Amino acid sequence: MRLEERMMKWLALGAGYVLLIQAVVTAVEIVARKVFNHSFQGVDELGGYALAIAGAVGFGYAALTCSHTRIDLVLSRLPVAARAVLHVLAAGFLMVVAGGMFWYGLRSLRQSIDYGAISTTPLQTPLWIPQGIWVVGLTLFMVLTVVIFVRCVIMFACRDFDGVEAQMKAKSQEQQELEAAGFGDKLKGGN
Amino acid sequence: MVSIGIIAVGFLCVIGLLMLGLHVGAVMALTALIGVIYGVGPMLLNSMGNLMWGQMNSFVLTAIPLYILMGEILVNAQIAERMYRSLSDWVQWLPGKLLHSNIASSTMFSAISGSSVATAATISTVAFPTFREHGYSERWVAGSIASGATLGILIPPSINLIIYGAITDTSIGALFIAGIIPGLLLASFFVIIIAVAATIWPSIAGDGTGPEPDLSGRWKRLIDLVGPVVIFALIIGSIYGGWATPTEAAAVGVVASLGLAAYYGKLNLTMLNDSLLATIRITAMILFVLMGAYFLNFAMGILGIPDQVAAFISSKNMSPTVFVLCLVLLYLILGCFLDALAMMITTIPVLFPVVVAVGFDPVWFGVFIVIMCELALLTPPVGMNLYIVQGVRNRGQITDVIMGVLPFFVGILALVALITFFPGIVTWLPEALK
Repeated sequence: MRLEERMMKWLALGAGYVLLIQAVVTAVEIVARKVFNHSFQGVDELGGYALAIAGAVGFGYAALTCSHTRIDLVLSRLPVAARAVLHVLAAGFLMVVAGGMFWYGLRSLRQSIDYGAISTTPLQTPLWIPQGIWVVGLTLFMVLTVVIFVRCVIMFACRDFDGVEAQMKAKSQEQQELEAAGFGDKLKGGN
Repeated sequence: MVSIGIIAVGFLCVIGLLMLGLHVGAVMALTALIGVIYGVGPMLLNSMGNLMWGQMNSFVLTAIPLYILMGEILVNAQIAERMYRSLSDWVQWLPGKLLHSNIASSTMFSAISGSSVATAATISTVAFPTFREHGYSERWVAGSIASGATLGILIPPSINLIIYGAITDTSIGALFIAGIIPGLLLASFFVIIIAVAATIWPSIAGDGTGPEPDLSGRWKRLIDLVGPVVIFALIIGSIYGGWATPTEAAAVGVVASLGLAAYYGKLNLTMLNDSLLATIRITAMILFVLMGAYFLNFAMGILGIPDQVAAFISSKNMSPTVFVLCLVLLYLILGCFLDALAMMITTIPVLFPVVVAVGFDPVWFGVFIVIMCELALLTPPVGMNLYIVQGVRNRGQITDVIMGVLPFFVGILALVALITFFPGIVTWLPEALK
């Protein structure tokens, strides 16, 4: 596994555990609220941050595992060179959007720091903390899409169309869905 | 003001870019960007960061990864095998025999899963081995699984209904409850279709060589249904008891599914890590498209596009029935070419304001659009459930699956007609429980 793949896998796993802890804490909160009439403050607020962070980290992980949704109806019917052109184009567009998300995310973070923004909740969370981690996730997403795009362009320039294909379309859509549903290994023996 | 012609051209351009295989989320975000710059100027882009943070930092949307995680854990804990076995005991007396197990177990799995694709993958893996060697028609086996699995997004919990609720600001709790009656109706349509077909052509339900069903342990095996039923009751009960929001109910569902996995001795670190990684990947995939939709929503609002389309449609003086018919046709066509979720997310920003302006109930439209997604999952060339079932079946042609789905397609269209003429089927239960 490449370095960035290993790194993103660990980060994604970390984000997964954040969500799992969030789920357990939320469930405990409901029981506490219902049975002991006691409510911890801010579980929902932290849940929102958990999603923002898990999403931002996940964007990069999904880019690396080719999991972001694309419609491959036309793509799959074209010759390999034409497919490679479209893969490069798609990688470029994704990079532009990831770059935009990073840029405007960063601006949002800077505003929070400049104005010392805190959440309007009992927790009064200084917003730069969750937003800071969120921007780290968006930064990784941007860097990864740049890496993927540059690799695609270089391989395309070397006329290595299969390399572009491997970079951008590791698996077919249904295979991804099956793996996501926990059946990836059962199909490996098949065609 | 943007003319209706430009809107139509813009929409076709978006579809064109999607067909080129560009990332769905990226296409929507860039379209929004062009719209904002063209309509108001680049200054407005400065608010994009806060918009993005506001949408991603959302406790409501946290329900999405939690329901995905719950489904992943239950699949990895092999709950579905037990459920399938136990349900088979009770449906075999119907004409069509084991084919009904596919519908029954899809229906039940839908009640603990928010995704049709996951339901299709799960049920086909469990079901296919049962049918081998008994001479059942492969078309009917594949068709009943692919179609039955579409219930996954109609019967709550449902990822699609959460996304619809989040984009349109409709109560997700009400949407969940509204999905129950149409979901059960559709399941019963499927059962009727199989029973009628098996009465006319008995050969579809096997050559009679199958072993006598072992019914001696069927009461004992009922215990395997307790887990899923309890999880469903916890989720829906806590939402309607008013003790939990749909997100909190999802958290309870995750904890309950962990408990169930532990009970069956399937809870371990590898399983948990696999479930979490898949959850993050699918969540990111959905969120990215959703971010694109939010940008597009924002841009179109600024350009006044929904108002324009609404004014255009009202000027045509269509009757509600004709209007729904047009929507059905539009979604049938889009569903052939777009992924179901992408289809839903790209069309809601334009159509929702129009549909509400014409006088339809937001909850009704949510259920309607999810049924359209079900059709999209079954229409070639891009019907995901067809490919999932074919992938697991791993023999024969995809044409068998497509042909197998056709009779059930009629059932879904019948449901659409029914909820159009009797919208109360959708709106009655959520209102009664308010």
